[in-house]
Amino acid sequence: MLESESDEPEEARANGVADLSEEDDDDDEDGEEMDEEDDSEPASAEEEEEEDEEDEEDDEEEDEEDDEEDEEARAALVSDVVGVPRADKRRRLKRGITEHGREGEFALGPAVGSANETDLTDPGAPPGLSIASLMASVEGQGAAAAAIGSARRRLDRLANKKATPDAVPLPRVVNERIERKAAYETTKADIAKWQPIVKENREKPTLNFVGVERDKMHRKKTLASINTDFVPENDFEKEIMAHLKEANALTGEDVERAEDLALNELTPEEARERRARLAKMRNLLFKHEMKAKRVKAIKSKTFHRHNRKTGAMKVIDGETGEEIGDDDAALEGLDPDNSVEAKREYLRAQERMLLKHKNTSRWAKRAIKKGLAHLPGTKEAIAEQLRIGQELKRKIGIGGERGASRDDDDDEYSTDAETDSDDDAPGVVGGGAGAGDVNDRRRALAKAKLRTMQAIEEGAAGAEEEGGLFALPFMARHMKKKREEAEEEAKQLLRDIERAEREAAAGAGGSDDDEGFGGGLGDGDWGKGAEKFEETDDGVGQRRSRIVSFGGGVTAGGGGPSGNAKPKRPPREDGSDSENDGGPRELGDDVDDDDEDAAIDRNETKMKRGANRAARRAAAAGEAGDPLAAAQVPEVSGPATHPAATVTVHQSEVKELTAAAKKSGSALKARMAARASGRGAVVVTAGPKPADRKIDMAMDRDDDDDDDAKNHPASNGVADLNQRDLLSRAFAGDDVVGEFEADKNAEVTDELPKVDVPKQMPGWGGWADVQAKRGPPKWQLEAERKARATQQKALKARRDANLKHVVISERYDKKVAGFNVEHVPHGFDSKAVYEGSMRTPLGPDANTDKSFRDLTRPKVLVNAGAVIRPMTFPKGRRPKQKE
Amino acid sequence: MKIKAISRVEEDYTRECKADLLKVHRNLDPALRPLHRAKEYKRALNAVKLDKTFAKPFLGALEGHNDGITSLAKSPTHLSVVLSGAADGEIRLWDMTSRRSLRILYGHAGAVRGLSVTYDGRRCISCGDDGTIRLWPMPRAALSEMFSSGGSVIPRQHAKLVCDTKTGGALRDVDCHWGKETFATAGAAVEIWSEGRTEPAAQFSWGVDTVLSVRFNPVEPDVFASCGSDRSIALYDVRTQTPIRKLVMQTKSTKLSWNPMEAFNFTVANEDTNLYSFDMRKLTVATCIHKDFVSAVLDVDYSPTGREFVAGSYDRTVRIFDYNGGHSRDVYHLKRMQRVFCTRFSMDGTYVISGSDDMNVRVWKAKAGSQLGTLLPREKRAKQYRNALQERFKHMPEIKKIARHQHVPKAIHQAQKMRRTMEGAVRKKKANRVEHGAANAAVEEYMPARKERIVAEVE
Repeated sequence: MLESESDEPEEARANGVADLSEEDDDDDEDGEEMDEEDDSEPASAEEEEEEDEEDEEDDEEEDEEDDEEDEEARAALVSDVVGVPRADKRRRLKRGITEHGREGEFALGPAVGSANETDLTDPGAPPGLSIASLMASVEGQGAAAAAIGSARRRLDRLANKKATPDAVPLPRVVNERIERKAAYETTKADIAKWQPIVKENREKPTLNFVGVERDKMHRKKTLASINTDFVPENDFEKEIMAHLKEANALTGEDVERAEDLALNELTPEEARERRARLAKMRNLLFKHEMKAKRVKAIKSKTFHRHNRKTGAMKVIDGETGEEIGDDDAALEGLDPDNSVEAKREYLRAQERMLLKHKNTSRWAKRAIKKGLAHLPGTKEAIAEQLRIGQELKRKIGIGGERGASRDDDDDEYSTDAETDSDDDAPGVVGGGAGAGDVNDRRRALAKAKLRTMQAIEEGAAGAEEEGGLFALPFMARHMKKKREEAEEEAKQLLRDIERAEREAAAGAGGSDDDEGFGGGLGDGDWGKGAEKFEETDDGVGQRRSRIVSFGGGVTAGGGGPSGNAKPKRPPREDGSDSENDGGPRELGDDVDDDDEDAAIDRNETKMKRGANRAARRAAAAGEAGDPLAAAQVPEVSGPATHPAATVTVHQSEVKELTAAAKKSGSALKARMAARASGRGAVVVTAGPKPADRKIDMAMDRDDDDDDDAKNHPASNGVADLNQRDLLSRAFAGDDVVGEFEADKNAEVTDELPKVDVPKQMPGWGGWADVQAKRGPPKWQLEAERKARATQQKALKARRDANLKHVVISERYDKKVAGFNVEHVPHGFDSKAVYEGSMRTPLGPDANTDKSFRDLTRPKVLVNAGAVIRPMTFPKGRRPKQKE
Repeated sequence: MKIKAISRVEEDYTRECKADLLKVHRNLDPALRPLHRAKEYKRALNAVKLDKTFAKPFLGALEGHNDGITSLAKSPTHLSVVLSGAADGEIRLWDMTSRRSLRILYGHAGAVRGLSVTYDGRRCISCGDDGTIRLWPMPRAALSEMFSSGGSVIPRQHAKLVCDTKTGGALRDVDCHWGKETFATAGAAVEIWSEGRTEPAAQFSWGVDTVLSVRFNPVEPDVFASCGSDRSIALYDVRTQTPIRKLVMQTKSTKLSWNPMEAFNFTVANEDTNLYSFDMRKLTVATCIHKDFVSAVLDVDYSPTGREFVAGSYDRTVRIFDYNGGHSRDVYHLKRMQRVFCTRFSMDGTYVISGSDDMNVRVWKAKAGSQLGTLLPREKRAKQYRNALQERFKHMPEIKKIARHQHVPKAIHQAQKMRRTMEGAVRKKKANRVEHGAANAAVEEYMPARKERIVAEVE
């Protein structure tokens, strides 16, 4: 109804503007202004007065009139007293209106939005734009006031009704949140109507889509069906048919052929080819990605340094897109200038990393393990492998200009030692590298020559450059002399090198002969191994070892340590340490080998001695009788519970018997064996079955006469024995019950849980009388007690605990366990429920046809090839109404 | 007095022709079959072994695209219609029966991220990285094309209508309403479009960077949901024109699918390798967590039966889960199959379609060991009997072991092992904290797994 009521924001703005304008007017009201902002109700006391003055002439507001009259009277009184002429009403009014006059689009008068008459009447009403303040600007003009008189009256009536403006709206964020919440609640309530349907569907044993979907099934018309069904009926169709026939487009195949020809712009082969290519590239990309991932995962810094240098495993660079995947590609991608060097470097790095030629191959390992390494073919092959490895690992002279930097590189790797030695002593190199490598030697010589030449040239060049102190004549003379000497020396060296080169060239053919094991310093461990094998294989070696073994019997302690005392030499696979030694080392090597052989022999001796000792001990035990074994025998062979058995046993025979009994698993056999030996009555087993027992009885009758006589003195002569006595006599000496109990006891004990009881170590805690008297410590007793309790508990928990004549095995049976479920499966409340679900068979051989179908119906039934539409709400159902 | 006479009708025991089976009468007294359980156990064992032996789920690959497949769409009305969009902007229409592409829809400048077919199957809508939405009348290939021997050039087709997104940037997904000619796109914001208009009808944004996917509820079609890059899953209602609820998880959800048989349930594929099922009425706790993947899950789609769904992952496998199964029922992988970006269940619940980075769309059986094609009634009964036996004895150790075994590539096997180790470490750490922590440490540490990954439910 009222615009002012609905336009809260405007009102608020008006309020603010009014405040501002007022501030401009009177500065001394600042304090009040602040108050007004906080709580505008009490703030405007002064304004009220002003307004009162302004509205002096408003005689229509009756409640105000009294005040105004008072005011007027007071003013008149004051003016009378002071003598000042009374202020012109017009002027005062004007002052009030001026503010209205300044009102514009962006500024409202001070009265607007502040407390006003309406508020005065109703102190509880919130501040805001009021009708009165809006109407203030129209007031005063006589004609205008008359014109709007009726409207004004109505407005006033409304104002008196205390219509309050709306509250300030909530922030947008909050508002939206509330809206969302409400919407969610609505949707939630709405969607809950599906709940019963969903529940029903979930509980159905079979969800059936067949009936529903059958009608909706979209059946596809096939070309064949259309073709067969189609018959040209009218003239038009017939005419078209004729035309088609004429154009050779009657059948689908004809049309297809024509279309194929027409649309043959890009050949499908091309397209297919392109696709295949793309697919391959993509696959390669993936493989490379995997490879890069693997390489990235390698933590070794050395590896990465190598990788960076050689580019062996270079990953694709995103920018260039250059792909260097495998080894060959890596080589190809290198610079063309130094490709040979780089390749060699790469191969060297590869060899050092992979150790491919270091007898790491399966074949070589096997050969060495089986001792085939000394066979002529194998030996050479292995030597060749090692040689290749050496060659690959060698850093070979590259140009002099790269020398310095290369030396720096070398220092990083300790295994490169041989390269340095190459420079120092070129003559020895050949021997070090497996003695046969003439090329290597030549190369080294060439390198040395080159270096020498360079040195000579440099010396000549450096002579002119010197200045300062060296420019003095005597210094110069001395230097020249020195240089000449050095030059002479260098030349001599050069000559030597040349001679060596010639020799090397001459000896190229025969150098293979030098490659023997004795001479070959770099031929690794296997050579020595082979030697050893040879030595131990022949008779001499064995004889020697045997002699040692017998001779050194007494001083066994001395032999061992001396054998062990010799430290094992580190493996000399690369031959780097022996290289510097040169020729004389060979002799020492041989000596060493002998020493080693001796040590090995001694070790063997020790082992043999140990075995002998054990054998001797065993023999002694057999002959003299092992006290331990003797003690064990009766325990095994006869039960303590057997009162009637007289045990007269020769120990060795008992052993045999028990062994036999164990072997056959039958007590009877053992007894038979005992009887056959004719050594008297032996009762070996504890609990034979009664049937067995009977047989024994029958067979033992003759031998056991004296026993019977002892046990049953009344056996002969008494005729009137009753049945019971007869029976008891018949089974005299058979403590069947006792035997059964013993059996049961044994079995039960076997099945009881094993409890570990901590015991004191023998000898501990018993060294003094006091301790011995004190007995075992408390903790041990406690542990024993606990163990006993556990076992007792387990014993009581057994199913046969209260059954005297029954043994129920509770042993875990693996085979049966396969048919049992360990726990009650999820979804079954108890064991009984689960068992119940398994009770009835499912098959058609045990069910009627109908029940078979019912029992085996699948959980979801669908029609093949029918679209299943999403669920729709059943028509008959009403969603549950919410109250 | 009632007299029971033994009678025999000759007809029942006479064969009409030689091929007829003789009716065998059996005494069904269970007392006569004391070993029925052992027998059926053996049969169940054989059945489960046969099932694994004949598990050959791969049916064929649809070759033709020249870039990785980024989106797939199935027609809600036609089984044989499948559309696939590639990263080079090409869309292909496939005929599943002949496994050939019938049309190429071209026009997109960037990768096609979203593809959807309208509820009536007459139009399809695509959107992609180029920020355009294209509407295509669903091409109807002539019968001759479908049955031709192949070799001809595939006809190309332009879009009928092209609209640009009003929010700017690329579009990530599009989905059609299940009852109206309306569709929603996901990009910088969710926009609702009416077909035939180039301006969106509504736009929703709720403090999110990018909306990754949007999916309409097939049962309650005015409700739809979206996954955002701010790890949120948001629900919207077209009727009230507002987003209604948002759920924030610890990791980003990539795709989402509603259960077509349960109006309020949906499953999201998450980047933490799991899938989470939710009831939209109670978002504070997931109804089920579906585990087994070893890498981010990229797409999920429900079977129209609502009992299972298929999901594809970055770890190059496709897995099929029961709607309430914590672990996958089956895992499909091939040597040459790359990252799987999109998967769909066919509208008859029998096939599964996957699109991967290796430019192929692949078609699989939904049940690996099932025999497709018409079965004789007797075969059908035998199959049902075998299945029922498997179901009954599934808890037996041996059968369980065989049925649960899934062969996976070595890389995945190792990743699984690694994950197990990591989970074990976390569990151990938790136990330690509980043991040595404050009295209420157990309450704080042992939060139910279904709540653990949920950060907040925002109103």
